[in-house]
Amino acid sequence: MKIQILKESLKQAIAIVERATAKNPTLPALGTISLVATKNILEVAATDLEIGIRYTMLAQVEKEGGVAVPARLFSQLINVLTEKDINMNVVATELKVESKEQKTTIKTLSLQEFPIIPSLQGDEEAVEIDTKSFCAALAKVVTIPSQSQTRPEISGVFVAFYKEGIRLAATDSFRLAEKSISFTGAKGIEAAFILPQKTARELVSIFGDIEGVIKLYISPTQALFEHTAKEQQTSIQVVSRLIEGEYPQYQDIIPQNFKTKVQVSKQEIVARIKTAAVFSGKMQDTKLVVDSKKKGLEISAESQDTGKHSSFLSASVTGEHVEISLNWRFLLEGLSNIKGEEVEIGFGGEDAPVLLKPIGKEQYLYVVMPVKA
Amino acid sequence: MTKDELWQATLAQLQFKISPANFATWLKNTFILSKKEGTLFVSVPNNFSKEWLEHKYNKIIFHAIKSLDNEVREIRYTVERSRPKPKDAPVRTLTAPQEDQMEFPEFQADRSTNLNPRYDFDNFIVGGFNELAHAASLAVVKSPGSIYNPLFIYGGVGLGKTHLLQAVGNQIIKESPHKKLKYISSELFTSGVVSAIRNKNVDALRAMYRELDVLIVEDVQFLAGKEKTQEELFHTFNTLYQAGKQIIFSSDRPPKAIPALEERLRSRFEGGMIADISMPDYETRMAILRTKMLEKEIALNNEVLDYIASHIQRNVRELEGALNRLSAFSRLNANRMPALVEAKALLRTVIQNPNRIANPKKILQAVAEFYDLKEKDLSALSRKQEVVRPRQIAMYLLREDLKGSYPFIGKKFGGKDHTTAIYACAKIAKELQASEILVDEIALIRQRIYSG
Repeated sequence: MKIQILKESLKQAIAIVERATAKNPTLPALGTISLVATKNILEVAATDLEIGIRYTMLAQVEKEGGVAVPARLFSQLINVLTEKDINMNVVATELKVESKEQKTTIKTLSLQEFPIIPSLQGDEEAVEIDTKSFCAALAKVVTIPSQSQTRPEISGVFVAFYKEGIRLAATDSFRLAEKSISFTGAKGIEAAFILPQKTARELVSIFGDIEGVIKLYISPTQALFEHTAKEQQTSIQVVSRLIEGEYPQYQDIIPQNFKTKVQVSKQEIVARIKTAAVFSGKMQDTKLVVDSKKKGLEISAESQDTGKHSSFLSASVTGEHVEISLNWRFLLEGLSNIKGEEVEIGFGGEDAPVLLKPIGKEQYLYVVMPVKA
Repeated sequence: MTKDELWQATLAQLQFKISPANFATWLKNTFILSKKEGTLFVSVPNNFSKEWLEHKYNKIIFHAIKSLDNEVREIRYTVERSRPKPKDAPVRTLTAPQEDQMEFPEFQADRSTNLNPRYDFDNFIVGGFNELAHAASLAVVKSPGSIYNPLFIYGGVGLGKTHLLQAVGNQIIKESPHKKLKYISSELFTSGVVSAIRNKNVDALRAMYRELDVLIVEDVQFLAGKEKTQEELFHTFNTLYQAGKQIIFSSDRPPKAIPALEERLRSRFEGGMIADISMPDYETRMAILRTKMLEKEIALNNEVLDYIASHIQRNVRELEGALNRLSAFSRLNANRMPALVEAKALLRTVIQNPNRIANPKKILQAVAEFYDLKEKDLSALSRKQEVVRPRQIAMYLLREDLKGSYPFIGKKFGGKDHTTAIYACAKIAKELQASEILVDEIALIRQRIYSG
C-alpha cells in the first residue's frame, strides 16, 4: 500500500472508528485500525466484534493494499502531526508515515489478522431517516437501559417503526422513557429491533452533529447505519449486532389513570429538586407532597447527617392529595429530556408509577417508580 | 455419526490447525444445524464469526469435514437468533441504586406464567422442616404429572411455600420451555371466575385453564365458602388430572382443616401427595441467615447471628427482615457491622413486637378466624359440633399458653362453669396424643396468634 492523504480527513476518520476498538489480550487485532487502499479510496475500520465502524474517503492511491495499525499509537501520532498532507507506505511489516520533514515507522499487524466486518447481504430492508432528528431522539433514551444479564432484552434501546413514525423506548425496570418522532419514510416497514446501548451511544456521538440522512439496513441479526456525504466523497458505516429476545410489552407499564395531576413550570421544579437533592444524601430520595388545597407541590429532603430542606412551588393541581418519595436523579433525568417549558406530572398513589410528560406537541414520556416510603 | 459428534470430531481436527486464541474466538458456540443433500448448515453466534469462517477457515473446515463425512459438498454458515445461554452471562449486575427503589411490577414476573424468576431451587434452603416438601417438589419437576399429582404443600406464614412453588414453576419452564404453565393465587382464580360469569365467557376461561400443562394454585384456603369457584376448580382439576397434567396447591393448613370446602374438592386435594413445611430448627435458621448474609454481602459476627436465630423462630421472612435492618445500619455507618448491643437495640421492635405476646382476645380471634366462625359464636350457648370443638381448642390454648385459671377461662366463654373448661382442656390434651391433624391445626393456630 502506498498512498497520499489529507491529514485532516484521516484524523477525522480515526477519531470515529477508534470508538469501536477494544482491548483484548487474546485478539490483539481488536485494538488495531485497519487501513485498506483501493482505487482512489482509503477505508479505515475498527471493530470490537459487537459493533464495527467503516469510514471511507478519497485518497491518492499509488499502490493498493492494506495493513492493521495499533489504534492508540496511530491516533496519537496523527493528532500531533502538523503538516497538511501525509504519505503512507507499507514496507514489509512496517508502515512508514512521512511528510516533508517528518518520518515515522510503525510496527503493524497483518491485515489477515483483522476481523472481517460483516457487510450488506443485499436482502435487508432499508429506510432513510433524518440523521439529526433520529440522533436527538436516541439521545433522550440512551442513558436509561441497564446492563442486566438476567434480562438481556432490556439492556438496549427498543426501536420500532410504525405507520406514522418511529418509537424509541428504554427501561431499566425502575423507569421507562419513550420518545416518538414522526416519520413517514418507512414504506410500510413495521420493523422493530433492540439496539445495544453501546451502539446507540456511538450513533449519537458519531452522527449527532451531521446533516443529512442515515440509511438503515435491518436484518434479523444485525443493523447497518450508513451515512454518505457526497461533497466530501466520504461515507461512514456502523454495523452492529442486535440484541436477541423479545422486548417487554412496555405499553402496559405506562399508567393511564391518575389520582392526581400537576402542571408546573419545568425550570422551577428542576431548580427545586436540585436544591432538595443537596440534603438527600446517599439514598437519593426526595419527598413530593401534592397539596390540592394550597394548589402546589412541596418538595423536601432530609438527611440525618446534614440537615433538611423543603420548598413550596405553586402549580395547577387536579385530584387528590398525594405524598410520594422519588429518587431525585431519576426525576431530573426525565425532566432534563423535556424541551418545553411546562410539564405535566401524573400520580397514581404513593406506590404507583409516576408519569412525566411535556405539555404541547413534543412526543416524550417518562415513567418512574417511587421509592418505598 | 450424529451431527454433534461430527462437529466435535471436526473441531478436534481444527484445533491443531488454528491458534488457540482464534479457535476460542471464532468457533465458540458453533454447532451443526442440519444436513441437506450434501449441504451442511453450521450455526454461528454472530455475523463476525460467520464472515471469518466463510472467508478464512472455510477451506480447512471443509477438508476436516470431508475426511469424516464424504457426502458433504458445501458448508453454509448461518447466524441463529437464539437466546444467549445463561451460563455465558456474568452474574446479575442489575442493581437498584438503593434498596427501597421500587421496580415496575411488570418486570418482576413473567406475564404468561406469573412466575418471578428470582425464586429458584438454588437459593432455597433445605432443612428437616421442609425436607419432604422439597423432595416432593423436585420429584414433580423431574416428571410433572406422573408421580405426585396433585402435590399439596401446606405450612405457616413466611416459611417458604411461595418460594418452593415458584421454584418448581421456574425449573419446569427452564427444563421444558414449551410447557404451558400458570401460577395463580386462589384470589386471582376467584376473581377470574367472577368476571367470567359477569361477562358471560366462562367457556373461554375454562378453555384457558384446561390447555395448561402445569397449574399452580396458591393459598387454596381462601376458596373456603366460594362455591362457584370451587366448582370451576373442581372441573378444571378433573380435566387436567385425567390428561396427566401436573397440579400443585398450597395452603396454610391441611385440606382437612379448611372449613367450608366441598367434600369432593377436599378429597381431590388429598388424593396425591401432601407435604408440610413446619418451622425451621435453630441450625436451619442459622444456615438461612448465613445464606442471606452472602446474598446481601454483609458479615455479621456469630454472636449477633445466634441472637437473631434464637429469638426469631417462627418465620423465615422475619429473619430476612432482621438482616435487612442490620444491613441498613451498616450502610449508614460506613459499612461497620453492628455489635451485639446495637443489634439488640435495632431488633427490639422486631423481636419484642407486642404482637408476639398472646392475650385472650388474640387467641379467640385466631381460633374463630381459623375455623371460619365469628368470635361471639365461641362464647354463645350453642352446642353445635362445629362450635364446640373450636371452643374447646380455644380453652386449651388459654390454659396452655396463658396459664389462665379454669374459672377465668370459663368466664371468657359466656360464663361457663370451670368444670367445662377442665373437661375441654383434658379432652384436647388427650386427643393431641392421638391425632396428628389436631397437632397440625393447633400449630397453625398458634402461628397465627404469634405472627399476627
